[in-house]
Amino acid sequence: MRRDLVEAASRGDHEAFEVLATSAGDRLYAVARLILRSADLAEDAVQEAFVRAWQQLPSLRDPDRFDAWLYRLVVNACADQGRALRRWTQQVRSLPLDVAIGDATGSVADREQLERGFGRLKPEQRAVIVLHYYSGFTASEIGQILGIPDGTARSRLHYAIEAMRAALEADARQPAVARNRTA
Amino acid sequence: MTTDERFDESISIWLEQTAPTRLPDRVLDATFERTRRSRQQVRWGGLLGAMHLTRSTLVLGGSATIVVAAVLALSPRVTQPAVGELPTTPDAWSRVSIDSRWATAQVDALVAGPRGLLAILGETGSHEMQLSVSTDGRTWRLVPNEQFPSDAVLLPPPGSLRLPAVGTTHGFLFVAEGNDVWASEDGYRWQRLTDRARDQDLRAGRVLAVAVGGPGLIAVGSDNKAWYSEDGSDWTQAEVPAPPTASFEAQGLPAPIVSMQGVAVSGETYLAWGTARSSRDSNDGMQETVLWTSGDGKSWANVPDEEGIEPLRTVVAGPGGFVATDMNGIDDARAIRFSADGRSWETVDAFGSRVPSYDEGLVSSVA
Repeated sequence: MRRDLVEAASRGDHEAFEVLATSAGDRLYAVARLILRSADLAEDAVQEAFVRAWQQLPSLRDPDRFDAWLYRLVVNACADQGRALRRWTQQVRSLPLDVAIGDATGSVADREQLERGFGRLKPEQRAVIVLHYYSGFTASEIGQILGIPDGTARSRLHYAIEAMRAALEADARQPAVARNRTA
Repeated sequence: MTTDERFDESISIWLEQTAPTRLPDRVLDATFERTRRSRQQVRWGGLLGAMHLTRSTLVLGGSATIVVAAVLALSPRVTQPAVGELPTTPDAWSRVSIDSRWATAQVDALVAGPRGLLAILGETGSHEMQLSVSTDGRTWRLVPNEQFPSDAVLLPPPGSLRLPAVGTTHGFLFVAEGNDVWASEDGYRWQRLTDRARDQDLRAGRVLAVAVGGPGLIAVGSDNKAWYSEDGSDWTQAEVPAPPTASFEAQGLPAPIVSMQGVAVSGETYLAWGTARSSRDSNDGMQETVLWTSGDGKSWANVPDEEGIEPLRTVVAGPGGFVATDMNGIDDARAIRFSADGRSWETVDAFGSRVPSYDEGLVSSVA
């Protein structure tokens, strides 16, 4: 059914495209927002990804790769949005923690450490972290999504994870006064 | 559970808890409004049958549009074939395809020279590039990459999405990563004119854009650097003032890193645009648009940012001045701006609600 929709959309059936985009919108938006840490930029990135998807869909040779291809478009659109930033700040308020949290990390401070550590990463590092830990893709699948060799994807994920660890360790070494100021 | 597994789990849980649950409906509404007005790129695979090369629809700025069959004109300094009048009706335009070695590709730049056109193709979603030439705008042939020492020659320099390239009275010229300057009479056979090793003025900064103007050629690049040359083989650094830093200082930020990212020529007025960027860390920073003008390409002056101009997306130059779109968002209120001198800008309301969208950009053409 989904393959039929992709094939129809690639032939110019806009209604089919709308069904595909609507079904993918929420998860792509989640990915974009986690990468860009801004609701406005994430909305822009998702819109751009969908517009490019519509325009380039006839060139997609394998309809079964539509979902992976969408991820690539949204990651690239996030990169474009990142280049257009005028002012960026840690968008803690744009990611409200307004849900009941079964917090395996044990404390609000730990979540804030993760937030700060994640924020220290470069956008391309955040992208692989999100694709792996949130979307559940393996390194190999991330490589296919991003159009990079397996080895490169594994390496990029490895260094992103190490960078996250380093960022958390650096945050843990901050003076107690500074930490308290952000609590 | 091992430490790594706990670390992995904590990240997964945190991302799951942090992620938004729903894309606002207005985003999809705006998306579909644009896609209904937008063309799909034509698929040529079925028509080509067993051909191993795939075709990429000739596009300008990344969107599938249409292109005139006549040669596009550029700067008045360029000696070019006689050009007829530009078509004025949609059916007077012809769609052209260019072979590439990728599944999806786009034309990142189109350059006119005395012997034809040079297209710089880019693979969609990557930085790989390929050159293609044509003498009539209809029939194209790929330029062999083997003549270049490595594929890295055809990569845009860091900080730029495009290979800096220009058409001159002698043919074509582009500046590769490392400030290697390559030239060709026909766009098919290339030779290196100079590089950092031979020209010490090219050792500072990275060329990001080049244009015909000034004493012959003018180039702008990273680190607030600009250059000029008579023939592309010997370059001299131009005088470029440091941009104002008061707004950054007011935010408690370090002095900005300045990048001159584009240059356009209107008569004897040269306009350069770029960004000044400063950050304290990856979470806190600021970026401002910077404009410069010059009367000779050798000495530049800052343009005061009185109107808070957004980062410029596309700039084209004509005999009467400069037209630019900026990146103030992706809604229908995208700004088109005009300036006769590069210093005073006004917003143009020529299109009403039909402002060119994000991907369509502007055709780079001067008659």
